[in-house]
Amino acid sequence: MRNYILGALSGVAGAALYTLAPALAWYYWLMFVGGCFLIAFSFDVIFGSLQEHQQRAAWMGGLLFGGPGVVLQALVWGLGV
Amino acid sequence: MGKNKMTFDFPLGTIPKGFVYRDQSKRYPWWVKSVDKMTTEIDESIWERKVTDQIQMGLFGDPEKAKEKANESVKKIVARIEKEVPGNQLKDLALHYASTTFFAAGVSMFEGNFITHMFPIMEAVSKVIHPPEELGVPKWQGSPQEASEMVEIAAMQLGAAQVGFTYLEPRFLEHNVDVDPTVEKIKTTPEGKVLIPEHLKYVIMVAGQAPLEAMKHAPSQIGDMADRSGYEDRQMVWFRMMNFIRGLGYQAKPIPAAMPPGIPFGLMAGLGEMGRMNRLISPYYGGALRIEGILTDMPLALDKPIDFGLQEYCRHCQKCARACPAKAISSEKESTWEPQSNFSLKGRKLWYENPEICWEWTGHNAHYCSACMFACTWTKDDQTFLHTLARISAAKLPFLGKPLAWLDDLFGYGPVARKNMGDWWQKKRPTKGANSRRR
Repeated sequence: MRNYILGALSGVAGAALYTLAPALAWYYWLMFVGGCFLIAFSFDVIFGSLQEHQQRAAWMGGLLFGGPGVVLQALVWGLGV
Repeated sequence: MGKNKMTFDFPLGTIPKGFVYRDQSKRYPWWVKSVDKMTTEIDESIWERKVTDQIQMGLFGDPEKAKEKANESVKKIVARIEKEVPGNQLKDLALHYASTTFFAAGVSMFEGNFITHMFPIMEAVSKVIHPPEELGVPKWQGSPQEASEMVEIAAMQLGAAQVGFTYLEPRFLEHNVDVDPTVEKIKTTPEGKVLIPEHLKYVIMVAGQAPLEAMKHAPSQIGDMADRSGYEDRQMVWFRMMNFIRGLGYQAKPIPAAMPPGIPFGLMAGLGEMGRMNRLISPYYGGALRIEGILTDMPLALDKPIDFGLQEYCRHCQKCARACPAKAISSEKESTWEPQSNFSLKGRKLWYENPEICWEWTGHNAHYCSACMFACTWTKDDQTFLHTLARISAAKLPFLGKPLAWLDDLFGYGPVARKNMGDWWQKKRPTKGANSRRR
């Protein structure tokens, strides 16, 4: 279910990005997709690790994968739109 | 064995001709290769067979000394209970005892000797079986492939984590056990030699999984409970599967020995590769697998050994050696042909573990350890795709063992420190203590 929600949110974000900046350069789209992937992966690591009672792995996964994902999204939405 | 001496026209550790093999392509994901030869190098000219009775004598010493050591252990256990040491309280010890109810084997704490009470239990639980000949119906018939598929489904249903099939390789048996074509049933000679009839040539390897959440607390009574639970899970499947095979009208027997040599059969059945810690390491379960073999005359399609890059990976990772509190695991980069203790066997190229040091630590600390098995970077629950990525990286880029072990540490995997152990009873734990999606 978590993956479906993340997929739907990414789709909505992509549609919004296309509406707001229809002529966005290809590398911004690449950064957007990469950012979505990293954020989704960080959610997988965070929730999976918590199920495994591996708290350190959870926050480390959030930091190492989610952090760069958020930075990529910030670059796209800050500079591209 | 005189006229019954068997000759072998294939090297030890390779799959023999004359058997039917299962399609291996669906058994593992793409990053685990099926191979015709086990990945551990073998030198047959110096090959030594396992000598459990001597190992037991050697490890536990003379009975009086063993008893003395055992009494020391009891004092330590009592002192820890009184001090309420995390992972070593009365409830932890009781849980540990309970986890070995049906396994019924190990070192008895007050006597110091090695006990194997599992065989009378096995005898008792086999009474409920009424094989086809008693019922007056023909025994089950099918192709070897159908037989293997059916046995695998039954074993998984009855609690196995994994199943593999191989053949009875006499060179893997204990020094006093052999295959003899002249006997009809397993027989012990007056000289103490155990003879297995030739028709029991198929080996079903069943595996139980140790509960990882508790195993994380090794070394402690909780960690020991996890270790014993793994054995006990395996034991239950072992008993159940022998009854299943008998129920189909075929013979099913344990591999004769107090501590049967499971690992070489497990390697040939493709359950894993031999790791640095001298244990079978599974690509799915790491060091958390506990295996046992069943001899049968039911024709089965066999499995093949596997290669997931572990021999190269273990060269670099060394996390088990770092986690070993007794420093019994080699931290040399290269494996060797030279045994490292009186109880290591020649003929295998390994990173030899020193069982004497390991057992000394066990005796001194009054519980088994198993920290190496949980520290292994392959020993993971499967709740996040991160582990799949790590496994693929380790299998396909095994020379990255060191950085992958560093990342494993960074993410906090491995046994928990004693000071953080106290909260085990407060945690929400999954059913049976194991989270694996494969169950």
